[in-house]
Amino acid sequence: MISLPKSTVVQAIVKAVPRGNPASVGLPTITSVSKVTVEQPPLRISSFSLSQLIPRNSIAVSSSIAGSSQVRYAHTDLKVPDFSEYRRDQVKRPDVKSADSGPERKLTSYLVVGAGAVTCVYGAKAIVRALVSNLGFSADALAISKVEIKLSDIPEGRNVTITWRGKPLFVKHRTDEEIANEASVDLSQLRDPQLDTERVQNPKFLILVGVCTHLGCVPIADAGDFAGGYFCPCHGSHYDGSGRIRKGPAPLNLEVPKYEFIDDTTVVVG
Amino acid sequence: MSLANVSKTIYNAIFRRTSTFVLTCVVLAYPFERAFNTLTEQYFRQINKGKLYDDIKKKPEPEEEE
Repeated sequence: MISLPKSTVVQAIVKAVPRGNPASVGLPTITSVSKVTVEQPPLRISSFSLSQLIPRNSIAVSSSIAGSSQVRYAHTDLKVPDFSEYRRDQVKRPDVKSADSGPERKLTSYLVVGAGAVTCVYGAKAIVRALVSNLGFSADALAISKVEIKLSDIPEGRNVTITWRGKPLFVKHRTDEEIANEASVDLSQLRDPQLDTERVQNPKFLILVGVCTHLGCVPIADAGDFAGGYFCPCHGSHYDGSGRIRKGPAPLNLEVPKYEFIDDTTVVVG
Repeated sequence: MSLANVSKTIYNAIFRRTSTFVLTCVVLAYPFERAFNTLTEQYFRQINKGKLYDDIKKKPEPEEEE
């Protein structure tokens, strides 16, 4: 706060002597002046308040007497940063068009991205594989699921029952007569028409899942109305020498599992 | 400058379009996988030399203990 009466300017005015003849000079009449307080502009200390002083718009030079002039700040001590260390060599020369080296520079960048992408694909594949293989059967379960059968041990005309995945498996070594017999069956007679050749890979060996398609009993081999066929004792379904349903309540032929011959005498079921 | 031309050709052929870029990455992942797996496998065998089953299998010990 500045108390106005103390200021030199004000005092000069106050003490001014009116002109007149000397006789009239007497003590100046001092009129008491009430104290006037002037709003002091706030001190600018913080960066925000200081930043308000910075001219934001383009500074126009005003030619009037009272007009403010250009505001200048000294920046001579600031160094201009040099980025040439970070720049590609192709764009350092001022006399060469940078557009000409564009593909070359972009290739370098994209190669880095591409290398990363290839690595990511490799990693993603490994993750997906680990997840998917987790869903599948474990190796020990897969090993149990296969059974190897020595066909040379089965005499001609005999049916052998093997356990496979908890189910009986019929393997029958058929005689030539039986093969001819099954091949000659008229398909129109069948409930579930299937050729004998569709049901066997090697006509000498018939491989079937020994579960009746009616209600899941185990049929008896070499029994029933059909020679070399199967008969289900539960409800009297008759299957022929190719495991096809011929008589009784069962709706479908005996199931043929997936199997493959390793050699002439060995077959792997599963 | 042949090198500049080569890089320009590669850039225009592969990296310019996202489709070819992705395709190239997927295709290159196969040889990369082969190489990476082979290298890491070799390294593993190198640092575990003498401890692996393959090393034992090759030469069954002739001397029978007990």
